[in-house]
Amino acid sequence: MDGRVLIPADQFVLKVHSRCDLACDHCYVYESADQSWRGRPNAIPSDVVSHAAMRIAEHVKTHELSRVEVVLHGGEPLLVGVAGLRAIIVELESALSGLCRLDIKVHTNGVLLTERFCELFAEHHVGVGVSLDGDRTANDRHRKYRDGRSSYDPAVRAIRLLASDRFRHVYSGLLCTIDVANDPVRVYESLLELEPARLDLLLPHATWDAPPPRPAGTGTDYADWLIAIFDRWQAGGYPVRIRTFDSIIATLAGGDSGTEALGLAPVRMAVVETDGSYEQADSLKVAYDGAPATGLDVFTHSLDFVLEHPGVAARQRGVASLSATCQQCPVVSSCGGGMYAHRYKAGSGFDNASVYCADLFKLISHIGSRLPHVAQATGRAGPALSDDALAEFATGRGGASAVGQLTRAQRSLGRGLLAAVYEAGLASPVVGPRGREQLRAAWQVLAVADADCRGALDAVVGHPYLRTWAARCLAGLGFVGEAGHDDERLAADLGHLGAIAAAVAVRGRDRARLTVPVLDGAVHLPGIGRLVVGLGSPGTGGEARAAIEVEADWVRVRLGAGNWRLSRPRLLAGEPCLAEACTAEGTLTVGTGRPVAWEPVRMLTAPGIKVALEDTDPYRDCHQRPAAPRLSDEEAGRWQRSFSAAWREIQLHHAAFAPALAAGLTALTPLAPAPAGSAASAAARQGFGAIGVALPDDPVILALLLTCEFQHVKLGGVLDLYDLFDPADERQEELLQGAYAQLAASEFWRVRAGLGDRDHTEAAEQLERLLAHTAATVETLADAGSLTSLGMRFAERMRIAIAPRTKIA
Amino acid sequence: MVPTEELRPAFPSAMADLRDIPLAEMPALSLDQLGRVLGRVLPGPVANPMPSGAFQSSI
Ligand code: SF4
Repeated sequence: MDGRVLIPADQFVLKVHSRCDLACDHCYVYESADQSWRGRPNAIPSDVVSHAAMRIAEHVKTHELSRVEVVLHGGEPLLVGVAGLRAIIVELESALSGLCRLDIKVHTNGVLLTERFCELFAEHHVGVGVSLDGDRTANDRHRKYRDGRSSYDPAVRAIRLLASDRFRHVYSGLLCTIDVANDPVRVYESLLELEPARLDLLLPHATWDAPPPRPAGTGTDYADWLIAIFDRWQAGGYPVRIRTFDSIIATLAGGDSGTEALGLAPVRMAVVETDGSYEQADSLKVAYDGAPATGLDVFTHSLDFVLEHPGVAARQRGVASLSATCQQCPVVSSCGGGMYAHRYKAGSGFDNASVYCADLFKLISHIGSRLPHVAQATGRAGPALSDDALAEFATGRGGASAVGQLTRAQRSLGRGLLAAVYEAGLASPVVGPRGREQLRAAWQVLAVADADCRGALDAVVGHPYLRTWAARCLAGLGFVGEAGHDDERLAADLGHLGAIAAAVAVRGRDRARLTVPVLDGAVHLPGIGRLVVGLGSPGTGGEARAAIEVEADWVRVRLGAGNWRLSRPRLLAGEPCLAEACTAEGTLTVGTGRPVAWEPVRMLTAPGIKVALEDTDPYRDCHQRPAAPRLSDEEAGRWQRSFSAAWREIQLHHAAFAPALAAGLTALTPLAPAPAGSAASAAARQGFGAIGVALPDDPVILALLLTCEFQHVKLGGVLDLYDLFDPADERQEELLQGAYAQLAASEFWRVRAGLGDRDHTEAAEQLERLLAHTAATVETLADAGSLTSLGMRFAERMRIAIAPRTKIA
Repeated sequence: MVPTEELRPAFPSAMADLRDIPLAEMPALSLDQLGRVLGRVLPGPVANPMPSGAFQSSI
C-alpha cells in the first residue's frame, strides 16, 4: 500500500449469470471492448457464491461495517432461476446474519420476471430495479431479443406486477439508458406512468476513442436532453427521485453524490464475476479488453486486496486523481470528472476530462441556477449557537435569546422533517395513488403558505409534536412489510401531513381543501384542537378519512354522510365552538346528524407566559408515562390555578429560569397520574418545547418540575446541533441529561432552603444530596472518555457552576 | 463574563439552515440528502443513506 488509509467497500456487485436473454446493441457487457464474458461460466457456481459471501463477511468484520449492499447483476440475473437465486440470497443472508444490515438488490431486464420471482424478492426484501429505455419506440431502439423482437411488452408487464400493491415495497426503480434520438419528455413521462420510486437516467458508456453519438451537433446533446427532463421534473414538483439530478443537487449542497458516475466521493464497491474473479468497475469494460481485471479472486484474496489495487485506489483519491483540466474546473465538486470509464483515451489513459465534459458542465450549471436556495443554504454552516448562548447553556442556564436560537434551529429542523415525511410518503408502498394525491395537495398548501403567510407555517412547524409525528413516520418506514408492523397506521400517520397543512391553512390562508385521517376517533387540527367524531382509529378496523375545507369564515369537515361547520374565528381564538351539522350543500340542519364535539387546545396563561395545555394532539404520547386523556373543564381549571401559582413561584424566587421558560416552553401535556405521592414529569428529545407532567398537588413542586424538565428540553436542543459525546455511547446522553437537570434542581433547593417557607431541613438535605450526585455524575462523564472536546469543556463549565451553590441563599 | 471562544466546536452544526430554502424547493433534496442536512436527529431510513460512490448499472 502507498500509505493511504484503506477505504472499505460497502457495496458488492455479484455477477450471478454472465449471459443475457436480450441482445441490446448498447449493452456494455457484450458489445464493448472487454470480451472477458466469453470465457466465464454462465451461472455463478455455488462455491463462488459461498466464497464471495465469506469474503464480504470477512470485510464487514475487519472494518466493522454496519451496513452493506449486494447487487445481484449479470448478464441477466433471473436466468439463474428462482431456486438458484433463492440459494444465493440465503447464502448471503446467513453469512452476514448478526454482523451487519444487508440490503440486496437485483437489476434485471424484467422479461423473465414472474410472480414467483417477485414472491421470492418480497420474502427476502430484495429491491428490484428494471431496465427500460422509455416508451415503446424508445425502448425498441435497442432493447430487443436476438431475433429482433421487442422486449417492451414483457418488461412493462413485469414492471406493472412490481408496482402492484403486493410487490410495491420491493420495486426500487427503473434504469433508462439515454438515447438522444428519443424525445426526452416522452421518455420521462412514459417512465413516470410506471410509478417507479426512483429513476436512473444513464449516459451510455463511451470514451474519447468511442465517443457517444451527437446527432444534434450542438456538442451538448446529452445536457440538453437531460435539461428538458429536469425542467419538467421541477415544474411537476419532483414527483420521482432521479438519481442523476439527486446526485448533482446533493453535491451542490456540499454532500456526496451517492454514485460512481458523479462527484468526488471515493468509490466503495467491488465486483465479483461468475468465475470468482474480482473486477474494478463494470463500466471499465468499455475502455479496452481486460480493463476491469484485477488478477484477484474470491478464493485467494480478501476484499482488502481489491481496494489496494491501483485502479481502485485511483478512484478513491478525490480531486487529486483527476486530470489537470478537471482539477481547475468550477463544477468539479459536483462532476468529479464524470464516470471514470468515460475519461479513457488511448495514450493518455484516464488522465482526461470526461467525454461528456461539455454536457456535464452545462447540466450542473443549469441545475445550480434553477435551485439557487438549495445550493446556497445547504452549502453554508447550519444554525449554530452564538458563543454566548453555548456558554450560558453550559452553566445550566440560558436566557431568552439563547433559547430563541434553539427554537430557530428547531424551525429549520421542522421544515426538513416536513419535507422528509412528504417524500417518504410519496415513495412509501403503504401509500396508494389516492394517498399520494392527498400528500401532494397537502404539500401544495404548505409550500404556498411558506411564500404567502410564513407566520402561519412557523406556528405549526414549531409545535413540539410535529417532530414526534415525523420521527414516528420515518421510523415506521424502516419496518414496512415486516410482520407485526401496522402498515395501515403508518399510512394514516403519513396522511397526517394533510392535518398539518389544514392547521396552517386555518391559521393563514383564504381557502384550502384537504384530506386528513381520523386518528384516535377524531379529526385533528394540530395546535388548534380536534373534532371528536367517535370513529375508530387505523388498525382497529375503523379507518376513515375526512375532508376539511377552509373558507373565509368557516371550516367545514366532511366525513362519510356527516357534514359539519365550525366558526373559523372562534377556532383561531381557541374559544369553545359548536360543530354545526349541515346538509351536503352546506346549509344548516337542526336536530339531525351524528353528535360531535369540538375540543379546542386550551391555553395556560400567566403574566409573561402562554403555554398550550396539550391534551388533544395524537402524537403527544411520547413521554415516559402515558398521556392523560382529554381533561374536563374542571380539571383544566385546576391546571390553570396550579400553573399560575407555580409561575408566581418561579418569577418570585427562581427568576433566572423564567425568561428561558417563557421563551421556549410551548406545551404542557398532562400525563396519567403518578403512583400516590410521587411527582411525575418528562421531556422527550423528539418533542422540543413540550413537557409532560402528572399534576402535583403542590404548585412549588410543579415549579420544580417545570424548571428541571426544561433543562432536558434545552440540552436536547443543544445535542441536536453539537456532538458533546460519542453518539455510539448511549449512556452518555442519559448521564449528561441527568446531571444537567440536577443543576437546576440543586439551584432550586438552594433557594428554597434559604426561604424558610418550607421545611428548611428537608430543602437543605435535598440540596446536599443533589450536589453530591451532580458532582459525581459530572466526574463520571469526564472519566468515561467518550466526551468530545466540546463535551469536556461543557462538562467543565457544569462542574464550575455547581461549586458556589453549596452556600444557602 | 467568562470568555467563550474556547467553547466553539471544531465542527459547526451538521444541520443546514433550511429556513432559507423555500418549502417549494425542498423536495429537490432527496431523502438521503435531507438525512444528511438534518444531522443525526432522524431515525429510520433517512439515517441510512445509499452507499457513497455507489455502483451505477447501465444495462
Ligand atoms: S465538467 Fe468537465 S472539466 Fe469539469 S470536472 Fe467535469 S469532466 Fe472535468
